[in-house]
Amino acid sequence: MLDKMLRVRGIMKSNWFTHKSICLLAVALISGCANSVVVKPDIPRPLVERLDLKTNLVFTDTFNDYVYLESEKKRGSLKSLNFADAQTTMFRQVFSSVTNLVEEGSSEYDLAIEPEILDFQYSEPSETKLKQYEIWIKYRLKLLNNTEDSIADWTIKGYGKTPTGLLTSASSAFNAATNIALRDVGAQLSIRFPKQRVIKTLVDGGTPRVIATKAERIQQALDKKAAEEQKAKDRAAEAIAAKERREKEKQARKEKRKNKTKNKSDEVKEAEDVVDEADAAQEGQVASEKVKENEAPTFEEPLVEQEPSADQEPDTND
Amino acid sequence: MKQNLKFISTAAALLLLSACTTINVDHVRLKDTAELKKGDAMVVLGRHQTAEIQTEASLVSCIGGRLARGTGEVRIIPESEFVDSFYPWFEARTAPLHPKKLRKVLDQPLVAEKIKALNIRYFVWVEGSTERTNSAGSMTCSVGPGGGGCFGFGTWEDTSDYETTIWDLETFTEVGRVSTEAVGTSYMPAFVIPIPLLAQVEGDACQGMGNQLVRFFAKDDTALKTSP
Repeated sequence: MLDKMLRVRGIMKSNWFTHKSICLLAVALISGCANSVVVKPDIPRPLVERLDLKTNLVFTDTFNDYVYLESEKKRGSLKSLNFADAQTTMFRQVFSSVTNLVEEGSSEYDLAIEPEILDFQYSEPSETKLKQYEIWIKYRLKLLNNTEDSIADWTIKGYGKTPTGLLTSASSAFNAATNIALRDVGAQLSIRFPKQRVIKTLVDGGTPRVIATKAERIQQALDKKAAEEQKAKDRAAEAIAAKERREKEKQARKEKRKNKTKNKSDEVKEAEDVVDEADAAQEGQVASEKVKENEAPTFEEPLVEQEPSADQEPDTND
Repeated sequence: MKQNLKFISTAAALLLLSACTTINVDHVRLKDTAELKKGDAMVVLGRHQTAEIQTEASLVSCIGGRLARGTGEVRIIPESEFVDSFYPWFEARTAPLHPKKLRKVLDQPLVAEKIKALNIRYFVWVEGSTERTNSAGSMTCSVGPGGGGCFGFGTWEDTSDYETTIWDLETFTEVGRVSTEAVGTSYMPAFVIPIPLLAQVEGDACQGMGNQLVRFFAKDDTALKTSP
C-alpha cells in the first residue's frame, strides 16, 4: 500500500528502491522504538517431590495487575513490561508441584502464601556494555497460617539474562530474560521451600511460631499505608516546592536577562548618542570649514569699502 | 554472457576467501578409558552461573552435534530439553559445579529415576565465551535517492576461550578436560559493496573441541571419526 502510494506520488521510482527503503525503515523501526512487552510465561513444572501440605496462594490486585512502567525518558528501549501473567503462572506451577494447592477461596489450608513485588530492575546492553539484557526481580513472600497470622516473611531475588543477537529484537530479549528471572525464583523456591524450618514444622504437624497476629498484621499494613501516603504527600509537596523554586529561578533569570538587555540597549543608545554627537560635531566642523573655505575672501576683505588705488585698474564696466 | 561469468567467478572467489583462525586445543585425560555403550546418552550443557559467564547456546548445540556425529552409538540430549525436563536442578544458579554436588542432586528420587530412564552416562559442561579483543579501521556508508555505498576498511580480532569438563555419572568423578583457545582476525574492505572476510572463531573452536571430545570417547584414541 505504502509502496503504491509512494510510487504514485513519484517519490519512489523502482521496485528495488521501494523494497530496500521499506526494509531499511522496518529495521529502523524495530531497533529504534520503545517497546511495550507482555511476557509470555515459559516455566516448566518442577521435578520435585510434593509435600503433604495444603497451601493457598493469595494474589492481591496489585500483584495481579503489576506492570512495570519506565519513567526515565533516556532509557529508550523499554516502555512497559507486563509480566503479571508470567509471575502468577510461575507461582502456581511451583506451589502446585511442591505442595497441594487448594482452590482459590478455599478455607481448608495449612499455609497461605502471599507474594509481593518489592523491586524490579533491568539493564540494556547499551548501559552495561555486556551485550546482554538483564532483569532483576525481588519478591517478598508472606506466609500465613490458617488463622491468617503471619508465620514467616521471606525475600527472594531472581536474576535473568539473555544475550543480544543479530536478529533478536529487544522485546523478545526482555521476554526471555524475564522468563529466566522467573525461572530462577521458581528454582530457588522449589529447592529451598521444603528445607525451611517453618515448612518442616508444618509438615511434621507442628505449629510454627507466630511473628505477627492477624490484627497486628492489619495494623502494620495500615501503618505502612499511612506512611506511604505521608511519603507521597511529602514527595508531592517537595515537588511543588521544587517547581516553585524553579519558577522563581526562571523568573529571576528572565529579569536579569531583561535588565541586562535593557542596560545593553541604554549603553548602545548612549553610545549611539555619543557617536551622533561626535558625528554632528564633525559635520559641523566640516561645514564650518567649508563655509570658511567659501567665504574666506569676503572676510579677508576690509569691511569698509576702499577706493581703488592708482595701480589698480578701474573696472571697465563702471 | 562473458561479463556474467566474470562476475560469478569473482563472487565465488570472494566467497572462498575467508580469514584465518589459530586454534590451540589441550586435553587432559583423568581416566584411562571413557566407556560408552550402545544406547548410552550424554548431555552437553553450558555454564551461565554469573552475569559474566554466558556460554553461547549455539556453541553448546554445535559441540552436541559434533559429538552425535562422531560417536554414532551415543544419543545426545539437547540442552534446552534436558534443562526443562529437570527443572529446577540445572538452572543457571542451581546447576551443580562439582561432581559431588551432582550426586546430591541425584539423591532426589525423581531426578535419579529420570536420569536412569534416559540412560545418561556422561555430563559435558562447557564454560567460556567468544569475545572481540581488538578492532581497527573505519567505514562510511551512505544511502541516497540514487542508491548507496560503503567505503573504507575494517578489521577485528575475536578470541574464543572455552573449557569443557566431562563428568562420569557412574563414578561421580571428573574424567577429562578439554580446553580450547582460538584467535581469528576478520577483515572487511568496502568499495561500494562491503566484502566480509570473516574468521569463524566460534565455529572453529567448536570444531576443535568437538573433534577432541570425539577422540576422548573413541576406543582408539588416535581414531577420529568426525569429518573435519
